[in-house]
Amino acid sequence: MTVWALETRGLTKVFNGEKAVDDCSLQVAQGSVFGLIGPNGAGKTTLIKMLMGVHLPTAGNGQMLGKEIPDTTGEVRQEIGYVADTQQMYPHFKVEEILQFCSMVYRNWDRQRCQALLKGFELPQGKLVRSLSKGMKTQLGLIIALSVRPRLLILDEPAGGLDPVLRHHFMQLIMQETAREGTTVFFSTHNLYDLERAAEQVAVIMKGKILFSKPLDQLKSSSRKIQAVFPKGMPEEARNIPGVLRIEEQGRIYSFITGSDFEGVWERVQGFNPVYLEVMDLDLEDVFINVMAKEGYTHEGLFLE
Amino acid sequence: MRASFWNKAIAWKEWRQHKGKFWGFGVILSITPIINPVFLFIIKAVDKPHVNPDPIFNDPAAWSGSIAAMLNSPSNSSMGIFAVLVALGLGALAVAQERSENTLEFLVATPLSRREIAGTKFLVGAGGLVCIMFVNFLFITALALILPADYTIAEAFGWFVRETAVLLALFGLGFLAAVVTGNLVASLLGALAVAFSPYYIAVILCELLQTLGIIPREYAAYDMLMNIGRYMTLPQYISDYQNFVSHAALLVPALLLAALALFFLAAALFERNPLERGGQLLVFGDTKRIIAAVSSLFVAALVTIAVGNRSSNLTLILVFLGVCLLAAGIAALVRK
Repeated sequence: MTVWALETRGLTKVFNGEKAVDDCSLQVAQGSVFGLIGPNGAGKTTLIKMLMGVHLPTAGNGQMLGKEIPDTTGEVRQEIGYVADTQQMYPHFKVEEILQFCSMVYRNWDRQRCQALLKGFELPQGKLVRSLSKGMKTQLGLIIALSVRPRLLILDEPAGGLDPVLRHHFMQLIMQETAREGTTVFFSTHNLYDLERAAEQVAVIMKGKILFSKPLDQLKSSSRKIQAVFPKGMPEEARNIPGVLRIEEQGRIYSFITGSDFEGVWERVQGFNPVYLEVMDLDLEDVFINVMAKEGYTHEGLFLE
Repeated sequence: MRASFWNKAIAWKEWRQHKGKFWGFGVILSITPIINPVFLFIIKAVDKPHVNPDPIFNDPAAWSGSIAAMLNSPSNSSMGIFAVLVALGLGALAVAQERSENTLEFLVATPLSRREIAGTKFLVGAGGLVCIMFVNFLFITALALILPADYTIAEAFGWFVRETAVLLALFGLGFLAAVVTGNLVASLLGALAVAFSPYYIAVILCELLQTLGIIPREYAAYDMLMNIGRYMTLPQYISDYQNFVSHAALLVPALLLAALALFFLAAALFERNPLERGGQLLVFGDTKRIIAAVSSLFVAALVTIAVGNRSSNLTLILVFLGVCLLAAGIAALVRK
């Protein structure tokens, strides 16, 4: 039986009459890496803030590491490492003071690990938080999150503000943590490369609703491109094949982008006796754009005059 | 599991974050009891004896006059309006500064309960205030022990207990104001409003009820309403200190109970605080609707009182209701 590190049941948050998160139900298996993607304003940060007790849910509940959420005692957060999208730490505190405060708050605070991470990131301890760059603040957030020796890491756009080298370093640390300690990771991102590299399970959120949650492999295998050339152009019936997200035309080549039921679409296209038929994998960005397009999230090209 | 109201880590953080304020406010509150006499002693010590031969230490009025005056009537010293503002400000800043720096989100995402956060913040702030007052009390007591003074230690102790009780209640009010408001300015203005407004609200209400013929001025209910307003206006305890002294046995426990009640109310509200509304005027309820309702009632009351002398009671009731509706309508239009 799968043990869930994180489970939400109908989590909902209403801001000024509008649902920022709508009836969100998710399950994250223990020891897995779970990626949450969605466009800007989809509700990713709100969902994470509800998990961390920053926002109180309007409805719904859940469990994290076997403890109920929302948790009024804060006990559940003892074993959770959290990196927020923007680090709002005390600007007039020095780095060492922030770390001292955290060491007093977290029971499992690992001083040695903290020192090693500080050294690794070359973060000056005597510097005031307000004088740190955005990237340095994110590093400080990660140092805190990992020094807790977490059983669950919750990361909200963790690599934002980091240069490519640090971003690589950052993701590597998270992967190490999962591999060595069996830590569950739940992270939101816009960066599909990070998602593709790290996540086993992916959920797509849009307008506050979870569109789907499935293993990354399954998502990629269901979203493929079938290219076909028909002897007398594309038959009209081929335009209405269920499971096709979009059809692209390039000369005589027709590309069917599948969102689900790849096998079904493949058989239907074959049924029109194409003279040429080929399957191509989509990269995650194409998958994401197509899934979003299906939900009506597209942007017309913008042109500056 | 019920979380406690105290956490050592938050207490350490609060002290680290607010120690500058504690020192600054401590200096303000000690102007009359400590800084004044100390400066006087220093000036006299460096003054040449042949120019000013009478030593200050032999003349109690010379050095302790201002302290004695403060003990009799704090409103004329740094313990008057300054102390009121310090207590309100200290209470409001404990929460409002975190809102303005957006650090509350960082704090509540740690394994601390909101009850611990609110409770410790309150206790550290209130403790700081008590410490400042206690240092002042100790200093003037020590002076009275070693030098002839115009006041007694018993008077000093009575003043310490009474003034501290008022300041704690004011601190609680400031803290509560910061819990229900969403930004620093709203917190400070809200704290001032709730501290000073009860008396003026009572005056307007009494005038209105009298104008409408519901309570004639000579009725006991009129005095009762005015007294409620007066007793709820905490700065009045300092401005009308002699009245406070004569009822201190009852009022001091009442003020301490009020501070305690404000503490529990603030902690309960903080536990349900929607942090996403930080920056707004109020974090609970529909701010615009609340302002529209309050301002409608206020305008209607003032108009009714203003036209009161020339109209019958029935007309006045209609005027009051009419202006209420009109103001509410205008407010609704403005909102749209």
